[in-house]
Amino acid sequence: MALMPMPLDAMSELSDEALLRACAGGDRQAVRVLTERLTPRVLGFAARMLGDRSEAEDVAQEAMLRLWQIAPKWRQGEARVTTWLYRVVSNLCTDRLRARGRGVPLEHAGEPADGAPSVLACLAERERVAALEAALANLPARQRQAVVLRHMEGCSNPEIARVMEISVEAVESLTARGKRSLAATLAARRAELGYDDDD
Amino acid sequence: MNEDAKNEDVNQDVTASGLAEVERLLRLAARERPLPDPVLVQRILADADAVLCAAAGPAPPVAPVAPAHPWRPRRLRLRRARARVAQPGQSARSGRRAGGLSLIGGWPALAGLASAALVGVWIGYAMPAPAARPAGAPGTGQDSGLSAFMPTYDDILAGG
Repeated sequence: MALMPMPLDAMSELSDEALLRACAGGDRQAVRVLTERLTPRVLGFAARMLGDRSEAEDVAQEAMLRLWQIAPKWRQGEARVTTWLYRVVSNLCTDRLRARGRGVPLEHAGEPADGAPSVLACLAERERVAALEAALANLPARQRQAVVLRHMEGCSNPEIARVMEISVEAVESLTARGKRSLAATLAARRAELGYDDDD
Repeated sequence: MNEDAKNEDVNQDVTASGLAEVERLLRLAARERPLPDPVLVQRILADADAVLCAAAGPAPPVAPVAPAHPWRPRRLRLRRARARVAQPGQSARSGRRAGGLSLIGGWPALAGLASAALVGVWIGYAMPAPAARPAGAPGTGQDSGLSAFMPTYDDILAGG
């Protein structure tokens, strides 16, 4: 079944679900728009979960492949595409973290991703963000997942609960514990990160 | 206020400001979302093509694009066509070759030209015998039989 091609601008205004329906019909423009829209989110989430760009790319490709495979069977209104994708990425990352048998070593984590555009003007701020990402990579996987989804991917607590298949209260508990742990790690490095100079 | 209570207050204060700082840094870090590598995007699109588009049928033929400025002198259009064909990283020679190739219609047209040239050479080399002319054709010296139906000079005079 081939759909009538739409202008690219009009297509970029469609919802993820509508685009996925068009993808299932073999619309290549919809495939491209959805790829460009979702890949950065999937890759960013995977990179923060795994702390490894190369592995994150593999996960992103695998998650998107599963999206293409599910597209013809996608039932409208059951779940948001992003929620479904985050769940797939979570499971793939969990499998890889289990296979590693340990967390990401601190010295390998927290470097800004290759090619990421810098929005930080101040070097001290960059160091602080790098320290935060390093601490994030050292959190327990579930806490990290909840914090990243809530504060970096902008998901709501109910959405995170659906992704992680836990209650909203459990999400709140995980994010709170994760943030306290991050604050404690940063507090231990106050002088090194120049916070004492700010006082 | 005893020392323990004071310490607890300080810890509370540090925790509250620390949490605020963590949230601020998380917002900054969220802006640094990694950009997907073009190679990764191509891999994902190829997967989609294999899974979705292959099942839905072959790609629709691309309609020929009319020149944006048909009144522009041909030489200028040709020069621009060559410039479009030449990609970064290609040598100037390969760019010119690709440009020339595109002017005659690409590889399929070149293959057609080469085939025609080979057939020409073969015909010249093999020199096949001329085809026999049909009986009665001009130059064969044979009567085709049509003269029986033509009026003679005497008939014309008698009818005169």
